[in-house]
Amino acid sequence: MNVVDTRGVDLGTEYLGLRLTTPVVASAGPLTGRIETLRRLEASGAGAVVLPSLFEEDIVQAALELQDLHTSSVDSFAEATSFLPELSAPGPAEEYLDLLRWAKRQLRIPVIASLNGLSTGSWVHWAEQLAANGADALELNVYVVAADPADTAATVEHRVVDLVRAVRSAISIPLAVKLSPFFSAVGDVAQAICGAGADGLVLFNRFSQPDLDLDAMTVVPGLELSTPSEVRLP
Amino acid sequence: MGVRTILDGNEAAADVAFRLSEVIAIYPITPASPMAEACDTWASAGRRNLWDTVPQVIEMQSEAGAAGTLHGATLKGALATTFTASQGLLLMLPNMFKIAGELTPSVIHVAARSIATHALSIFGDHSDVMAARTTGWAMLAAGTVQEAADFAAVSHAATLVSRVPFLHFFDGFRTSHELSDVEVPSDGQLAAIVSEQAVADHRWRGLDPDRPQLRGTAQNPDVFFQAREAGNRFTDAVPSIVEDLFSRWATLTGRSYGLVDYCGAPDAERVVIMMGSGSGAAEEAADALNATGEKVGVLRVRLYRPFPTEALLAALPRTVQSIAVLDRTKEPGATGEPLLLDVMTAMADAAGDGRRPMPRVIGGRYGLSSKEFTPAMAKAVFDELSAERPKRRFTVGIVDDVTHLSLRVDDDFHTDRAKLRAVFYGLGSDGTVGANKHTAKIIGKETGLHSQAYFVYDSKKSGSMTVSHLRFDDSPIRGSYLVYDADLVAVHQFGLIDRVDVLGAARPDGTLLINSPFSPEETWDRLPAEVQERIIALALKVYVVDAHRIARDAGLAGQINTVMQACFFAVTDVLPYDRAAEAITQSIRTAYGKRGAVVVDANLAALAAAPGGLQQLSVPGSVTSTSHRRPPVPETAPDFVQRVTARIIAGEGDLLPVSAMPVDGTFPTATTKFEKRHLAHEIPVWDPAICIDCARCTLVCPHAAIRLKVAEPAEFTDLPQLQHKSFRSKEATGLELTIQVTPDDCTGCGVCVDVCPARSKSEAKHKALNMVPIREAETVEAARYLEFERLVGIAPGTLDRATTKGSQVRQPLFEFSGACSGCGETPYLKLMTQMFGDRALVANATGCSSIYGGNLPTTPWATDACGRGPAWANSLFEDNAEFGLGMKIALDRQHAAAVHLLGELAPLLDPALVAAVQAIDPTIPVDDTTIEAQRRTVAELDAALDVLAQGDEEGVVTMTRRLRPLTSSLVRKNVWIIGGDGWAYDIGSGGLDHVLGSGLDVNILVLDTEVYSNTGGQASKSTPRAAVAKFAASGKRTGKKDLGAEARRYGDVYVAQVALGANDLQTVKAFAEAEAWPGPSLIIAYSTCIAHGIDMTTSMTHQKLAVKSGYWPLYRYAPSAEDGIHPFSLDCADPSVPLTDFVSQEGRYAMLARSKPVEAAHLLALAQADVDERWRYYRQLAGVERTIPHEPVIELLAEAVIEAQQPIEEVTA
Repeated sequence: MNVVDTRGVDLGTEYLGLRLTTPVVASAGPLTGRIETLRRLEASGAGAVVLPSLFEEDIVQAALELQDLHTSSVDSFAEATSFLPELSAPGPAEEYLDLLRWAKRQLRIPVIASLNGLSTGSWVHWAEQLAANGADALELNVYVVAADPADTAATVEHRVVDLVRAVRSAISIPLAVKLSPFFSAVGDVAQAICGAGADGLVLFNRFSQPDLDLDAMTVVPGLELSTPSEVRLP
Repeated sequence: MGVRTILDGNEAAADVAFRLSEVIAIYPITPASPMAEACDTWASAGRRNLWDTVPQVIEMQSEAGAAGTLHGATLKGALATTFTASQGLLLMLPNMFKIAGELTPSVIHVAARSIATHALSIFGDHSDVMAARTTGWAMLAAGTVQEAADFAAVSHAATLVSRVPFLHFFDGFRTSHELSDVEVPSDGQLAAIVSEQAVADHRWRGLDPDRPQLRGTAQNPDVFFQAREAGNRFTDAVPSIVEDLFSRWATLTGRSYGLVDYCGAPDAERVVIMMGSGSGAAEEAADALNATGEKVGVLRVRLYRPFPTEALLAALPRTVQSIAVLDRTKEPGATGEPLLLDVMTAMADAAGDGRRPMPRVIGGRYGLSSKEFTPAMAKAVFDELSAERPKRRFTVGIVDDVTHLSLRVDDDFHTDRAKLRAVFYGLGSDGTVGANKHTAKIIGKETGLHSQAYFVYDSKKSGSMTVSHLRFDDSPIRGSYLVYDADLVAVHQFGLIDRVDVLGAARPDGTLLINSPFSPEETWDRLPAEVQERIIALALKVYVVDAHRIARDAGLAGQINTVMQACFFAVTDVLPYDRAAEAITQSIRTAYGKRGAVVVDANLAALAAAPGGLQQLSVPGSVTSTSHRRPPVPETAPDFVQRVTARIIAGEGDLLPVSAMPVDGTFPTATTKFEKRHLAHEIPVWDPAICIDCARCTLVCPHAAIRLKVAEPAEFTDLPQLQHKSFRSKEATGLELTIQVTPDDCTGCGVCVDVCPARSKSEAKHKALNMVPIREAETVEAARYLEFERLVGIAPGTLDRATTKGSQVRQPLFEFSGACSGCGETPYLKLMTQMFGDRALVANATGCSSIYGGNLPTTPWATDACGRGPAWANSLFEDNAEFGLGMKIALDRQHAAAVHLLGELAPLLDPALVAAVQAIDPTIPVDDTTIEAQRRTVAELDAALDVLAQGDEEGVVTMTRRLRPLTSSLVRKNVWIIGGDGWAYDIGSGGLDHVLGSGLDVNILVLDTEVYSNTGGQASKSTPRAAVAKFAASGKRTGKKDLGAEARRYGDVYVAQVALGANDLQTVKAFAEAEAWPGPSLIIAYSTCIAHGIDMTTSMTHQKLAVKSGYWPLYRYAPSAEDGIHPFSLDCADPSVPLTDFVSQEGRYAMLARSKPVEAAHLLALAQADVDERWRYYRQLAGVERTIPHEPVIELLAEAVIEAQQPIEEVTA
């Protein structure tokens, strides 16, 4: 049912082909990552929620940590061939899918999953997993750092477009792409992405970028929230 | 039908015990711990027993506690069991007598292990179970992994029917840790062997207020004896009950056993009788001898108590003329070992009754502490039986050149006919052992061959070598001994070729597989001449693979298991490679599936790349190398180290004769310095230009491998390579500082670099210490260390020892231990020795510190230039506080005796000298200058006494000779009682409490890793809430015990809680204050451990977060008799970060958050509450005034008491 304000205005709208009760969508962030706050967002009138991104690098990191935990120091000494009990530990992917399934069961508003992958194949793999576990739509959290000096702008853009095409062909749920502001010709890229099958664009992605401490000569992780002036990006 | 699979003996027994029990009371002890751990894991996972309930697994504070719980549970009518070994079984003995006397069904599964005598040994023999043979328990001996499963079932069934408790045992390590193909008894088979009626009867006999009865009465001379005899018929019935159950088991499973089993010639003239895993080797020997026309046999005893005399007589061929009984235990002073006496009695009774003639019976000892027992040794025993005058008592397996009891063994006698025999040399954690376990499973499953895999580890916790021995054959493998003529030798770490005789076990025309970072040609060039010579002589086929590169490329740095496993199958024909690769793929998916796809994929990539990296080495016709294997110790090492220690290091300890061994287990200290282990891949290199002289690097080094000295500038003149800088100190000026690593002794943990606070302003990440690949730095740093050793430096007393710098200019007398790389315990021990090592007596509880401190071949406890250093001893696990207290009392008594004798002899000595000696008060803390002066004074006294001892007056000479060994006690000595949290919080808690309450001046150092580190990370009462540990697989439910509170309660105990990595100065001060305090002192030292699941490079810096989060508050409680004193001093600021900041960096917490997030959140919230509440409590304590009651106060108190009692007395009157 659409939300009707006190003056009788219907706030209902459509996003990615999904019917929303209100145009306010809770975007990916800590508030959409917990059951309790998801409930409160819906109760407060959110038209849809975008879950925090499933980062494939988290999945890899968790697996490697678990592997390291159970391989370092094992089978070294007769009295102690291991040091921790081996538990069956779900990784970040399983936890994410649990959250997604829960959100779909408990919320009436659309639940949009978000994904950040490492390779084209893995983007597709996880996109299929998210769709299969009930996501109403998928948002691709594309974060491209053009660190290779040999890469041209066109190469970088084609990679994104190819990625969208590959994911599009693998899933049938609506697909949004969250773009970085750092493209030379955003409009052209946007058109190409839509041409590759995206149903919508999310403008813009904001990145947690580390800083350098010049006194300590070290990398300092940091999170700076956006300011109103950034609305003028790009 | 049971399921056929590959298991070790521990799991085989535990799997049955779990399904047939309701209450499992446990305590960790090697080599039985894995049985308890498996049960705990199964219970955590909700596995059910035969009666569809989940058994309750409870960890107790000691084996005595486990036995008490077992006793209570079984007396209540529950089905109860436990697992143990060695001293653990001894701690159970009191309850075992009770349980048997009360005819209460129970089973104890024992991985039989040596009892500690002249030394501790974790390895297998029957000295523990033989100590239990008088308890009244039935004893069933399994000799193989299959038997461990089968006899576990029969034990549980038999105890219920017979009411006699059963001790089921198998050989520690040899069976408990041997992987073998077994058929696991099915639930149906177990249900069929256990009598439900007997279970019901047991329950009906259980204590119940609805049917009250009395157990455990006290009886008097009039009836105790008769009552003791009243249960005889139950014991008498056991053999027939077991025989019946064996028969039913044979029907159920097809596997037949007798109370004794005979194997060999039906008309044997010579027979060996023995128990346990060694029987297989003896049977192999008997078969080989019988094949040559001899007439010999082997009789295995399976039921040892009650001794099956009739079965033995029935099984022994009537043709037997001589018998050798082999005991895997030693009973000094007895007429013979236990099994010999039992057999002798049985034979004598039979002969006396005229049932058969008395054969010649001789007895021998074999296999103590897992000493190998081979077919060649068994042949030596058969040969001895043929001798005209055989040795009545003998040993086999050693060379006894002292009492000449040992038999000569023909080392060329081999009976091993297994289809494939392989030996693998690897390093701990490199995956070699894991790969071989998988290989055994794959071959067992894919080929149907019988498999056996056994693993030998060395005695170090860092850089340890592993040797895997694998056999595969069409027939069941009987021989439980190492592989001596291997078809394949695989060397998984190239560096081992230089250290170990890897080809000692290779057979002619066999195969050698080497993991080498070099091409085949370069690999050949780098082999020592001895190895090349042997390869040529044996005509070995040699294959080379760079497994580290392939693994690294696949994303598995350091994990070479998959690559080497693939290569094993590629160079052997045990299985077509394609099938092997398929099986490895499946094995990878099963083993790593739950760790994530990335791990599976990386292993699959390594598997795919492995065959392509394998190259055959074309062996030249002659030796081309001019290099040789490194000698185990330098030529400069002392005689004992050359003769004995070096051979143990070289892996030749088995060849040492009895005469080489100290008669009482006494060994010289300061020997690790001769064992240059060369473990580090990277070593720290010092940049003096930016060093700020903080001395933290040397303070935290777990292996004392980086050191500092301060010296006059002139001292450096002749040391051109040694780097130095001006030393900044308020106490001494004009001096130079040098910091230097010893490359051969560093493990490369990087802790020193991690703590280094001095960073370059111009070069990112460059510090005053930097890890550099050893290949680049070794030559220069080794030369520098030689110069460093020549540097004398300032006198130790120049700087205050109670400061970080002052402590670090002193020589560590604990160095180069075998502890884990990055160990959090050893820096405390090193610090103690730097401050007080020249006067320390150390009582060391069994545990990690006793192993890296006292496990042969070498010891890190060292000596100073004068030859002084810690005198170290280990008694047991449970008694360490009392053990140290005994040292302290002895020290005091010796001092009192010395003072008395000095008084008696005073008229005969220089009065000034006597006065000077009498002025020494060893109860008063002293600085270096004073103690040196005192030692000189006592040395003068010694010289004077030596003169007196040459005199003619008998009384004077006697007194002089009494005094002379006691004069050392006239100068200050400290007793340090050291152990881990398993000792202090659990098994030794009662004794520790008593010693804390003694008022005596002892220093107690608890190295608190919050788990039983030495046995693999089991939970103790120190384990904090929410942490995952073994026996707390779902996270510890209760909070950590406040050990300091127990000590503080006494009021006169100095207590400090320290964390070296968080506050070094507070730690150093605590050590100084503890030593100075004239009563008991307790230091609880936070010790990071690999069991915490942290990056051990951050072992010390991680401790800062422990303190900042309030997880580990630092404090000192310094009692005083002064009024108005606040003895409790909090030495850290209010917690400034949440607990999660700390615990999220530790695997032991993170894995619970991953596996059970809801439970983890709940427990962590409680853990945070624990932290908050403790801090609130400590803050209040910091404001509390407390005074040690002293005389005037006591008088006042006494008066007050009298006054207070007055009215009561009046009322009473």
